[in-house]
Amino acid sequence: MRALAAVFAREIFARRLVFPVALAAGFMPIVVSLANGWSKPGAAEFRVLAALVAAAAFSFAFALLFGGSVIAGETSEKRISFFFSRPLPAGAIWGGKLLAVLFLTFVPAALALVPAFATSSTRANQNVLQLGGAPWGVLGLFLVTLFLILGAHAVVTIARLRSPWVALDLLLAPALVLLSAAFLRSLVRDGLIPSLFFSTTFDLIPRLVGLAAFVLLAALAAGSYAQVAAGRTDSRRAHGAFSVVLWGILGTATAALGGYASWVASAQATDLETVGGGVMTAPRGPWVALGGPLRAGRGAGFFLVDTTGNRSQRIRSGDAVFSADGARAAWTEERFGFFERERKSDLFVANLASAKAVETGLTCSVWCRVALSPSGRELAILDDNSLAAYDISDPSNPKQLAAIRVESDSRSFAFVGEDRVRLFPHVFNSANRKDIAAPGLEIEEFSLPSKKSSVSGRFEREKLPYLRMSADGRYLVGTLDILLTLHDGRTGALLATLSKDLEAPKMRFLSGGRMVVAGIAGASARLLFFEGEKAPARAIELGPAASVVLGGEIAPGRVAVALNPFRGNDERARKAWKLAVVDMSAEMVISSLEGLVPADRFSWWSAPLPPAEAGSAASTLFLDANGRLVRLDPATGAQTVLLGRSK
Amino acid sequence: MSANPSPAKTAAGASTAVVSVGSLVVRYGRDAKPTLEEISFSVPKGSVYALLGRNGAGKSSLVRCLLGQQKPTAGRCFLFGEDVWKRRARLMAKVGVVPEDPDAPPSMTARQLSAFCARIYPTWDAPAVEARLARFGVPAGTPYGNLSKGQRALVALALALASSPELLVLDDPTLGLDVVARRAFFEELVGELADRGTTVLLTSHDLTGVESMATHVGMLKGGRLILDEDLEALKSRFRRLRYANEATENPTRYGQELSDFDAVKVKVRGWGVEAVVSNYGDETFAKFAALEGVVDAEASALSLEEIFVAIAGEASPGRNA
Repeated sequence: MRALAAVFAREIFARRLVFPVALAAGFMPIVVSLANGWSKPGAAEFRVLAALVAAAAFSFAFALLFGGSVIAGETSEKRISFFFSRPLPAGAIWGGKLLAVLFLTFVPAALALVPAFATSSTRANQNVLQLGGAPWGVLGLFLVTLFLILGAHAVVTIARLRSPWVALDLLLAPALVLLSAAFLRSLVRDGLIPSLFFSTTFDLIPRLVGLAAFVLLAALAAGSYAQVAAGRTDSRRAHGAFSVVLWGILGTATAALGGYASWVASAQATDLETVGGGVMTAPRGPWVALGGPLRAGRGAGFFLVDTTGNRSQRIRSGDAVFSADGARAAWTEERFGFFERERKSDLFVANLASAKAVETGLTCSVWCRVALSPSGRELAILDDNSLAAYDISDPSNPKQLAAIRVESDSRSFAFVGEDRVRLFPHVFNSANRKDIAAPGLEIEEFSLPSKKSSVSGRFEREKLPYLRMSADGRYLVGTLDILLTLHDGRTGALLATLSKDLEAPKMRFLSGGRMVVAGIAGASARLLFFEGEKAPARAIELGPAASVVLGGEIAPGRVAVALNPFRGNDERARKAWKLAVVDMSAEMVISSLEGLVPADRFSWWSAPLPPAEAGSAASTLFLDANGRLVRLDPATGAQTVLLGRSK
Repeated sequence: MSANPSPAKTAAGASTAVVSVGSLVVRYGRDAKPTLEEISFSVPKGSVYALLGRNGAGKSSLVRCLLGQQKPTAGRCFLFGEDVWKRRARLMAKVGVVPEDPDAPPSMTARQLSAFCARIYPTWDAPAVEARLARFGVPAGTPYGNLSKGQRALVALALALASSPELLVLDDPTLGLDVVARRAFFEELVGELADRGTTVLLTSHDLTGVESMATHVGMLKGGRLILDEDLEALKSRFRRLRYANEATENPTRYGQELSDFDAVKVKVRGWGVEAVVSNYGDETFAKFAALEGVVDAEASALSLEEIFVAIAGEASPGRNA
């Protein structure tokens, strides 16, 4: 300690002139303020602010000056041997010098503040300090200054010691920067961005920035210590020790970052903590697209999951679409890179039979939407004002079949058969209706063989509902406030009014041309059952509820409906779901299960409605109160947890 | 000379060796020729060991290794029986150093340097520093960087002696000094040695100054220690021989008659032959002088400088003549 103090005192003493210089500089704002009017409004703040700027400038300048000269400069000038020929441990030489540099950096800066702070009111001082973001601003300034000190030391070591180790420095510095950037890119793409979709947070950026700053400062400090302790007066060996330790630590940290990024990217659907957001179910077959927060700090992820097996495919999108036969899925992934100028997405297709994703090579803007033909062999992309269709029999080699200009992109679209795409109005919010251009009200049929489109129907602007299409394209279902209507899928002609007094009505097509509607009437849930589009409604009262989710036909004639006494999606509401299985023939609830809600509850924004198929794999999927995906056996009521962890 | 990796196995005076070096190798760069190659020697307590060698012979590298400032490529250096690379800080309390290049902070005065050293040495005689500086005529209040080279060397010596070191390491301390400064330096050193019997290891080009106080001599050449010997013994076996060669019926070829002397340098002059031999003995000389054809043979003693020039200079063409 005595040795360290001696070295510290010597370094301070040798550079003692910086203190009066800094103090004199601190009087400059006072002089300027006196000349411009001492008591003018804002003069006190000016003095303090000017002193703060001067202090920051002093600390940065002294950090660079002394950081680069006190150890590395003395080594290169062969004057550090003075210390090594004395009974001074290397740690005392290094520590004393480094502490002295810190002292010489911060104390003059503080001295430069003294005159302004002493002559200004407490309020003015506080105002300016708050402006500077104290105390975090001060901490940030401290870290930046520390980095400048150690960084200047590193640069001078590399530049002035002129040893062959500079080749290693020049090789590893850019290599590690590029590797770190690549790993960060992967982390942001696979960890941070998916996390933004869920309520759980992935504190990637602040944690990584803090950790990176710590590792960098630690590596620089350890490198400079090794330089002094192992290199002593031998500049070549000093540089070698510095480089080996610096790049060793940074290389290890980069490798750890790479390992973490790889670990985050390698998460499987089985690593999901809960299933959050929407579950998109394939119209047929066992596949679903879902996402959620992952366990153990891996952020969040989206997956295509085979609910009957262990297969899954990670996708970087929350919006996958399926072909009607459930054999293929398609989605877009936004390109993420530090040098991307345009926001672009790449289009992927998965053959679900093999669970293999293929990059098609097709790109579009991040706002584009895609649809698959019933067989999945054709793909349509609506991007900006163009609609293009591709033959993707070989997904890695798509062939464009046709493309047309679309006058309005405020429409949804879906394949109606293999060679026809239908565009139909699609507006979520009735307040936006007035902004829709005339083509946006039209139903337009685009024939791929003829490569021509024709308008087949049109809605009135004032009566345009939010529309979804039945899986077979035969109907459009419209929701306008509490009005639920059934329209002809091609012309848009009104076929029936399914409900006009239920709040938030939901509708599903059932097998055999039947339909069911669920909604809230007053303070209770009600189910309306239709034998066909012209048949009258039969109402089934389900009891008190504030919100309702309509599931599918889990067995012939049996519909799953979830009821909740609360509105919203808070913790209390999430725990309060109760699933009722309603026998449509008997018009009664035949079983009731706590905590379950249909898995595709949030897929209401999807343009096509689920197909009418009793007992489909999708209709038996539910989310439980813990956010797990479970399969319900309609016959026995047994629940099998497919994804998510028990809490 | 032999490899001595351990201080306990050093040559003469092993038990009292203050400095011992074992199989030291220093190499700069992976494929470069070693600057120092398998160097082993020891410095007995109380002796004055002069390490000689031409520029670039590796003296300063050896000194840096001895002071624990540079890690050798191979081999080890011991001071007072302890590995100096591992125990440098502790050992330096017993060592005074005068470096070849003045390395003290240039902004500090001699007095400030003394005050700094006083804080880190277990014993420090600040008045002695002041007294020596006064004796040298060096201003104690002038920044070190503003002093002349000779004054800086004297300040360094004053600082090196102030801790009453058991070992003084002087790395060519008088290089570039004028005659007056050199004399002052050596006088002070001789006085110190007379007073305290401090062990000294010094490198110097000032062989006249060195000869007056050295007890042992080592000589580096081509990275190797080609000589490590007591100075008196060295001087007693080196002689300059002068003789004329007369034609005989069986004429002796020039130089061949010197084979018993290990001649290191032979020159043929107009008047005869002049040779420096490294294995002189009175009996051998008597036999030599009696050889047929050898006329007017005479032997004269050599100064250390003459021995150094004979050994460290270019290879003697006379040996192969």
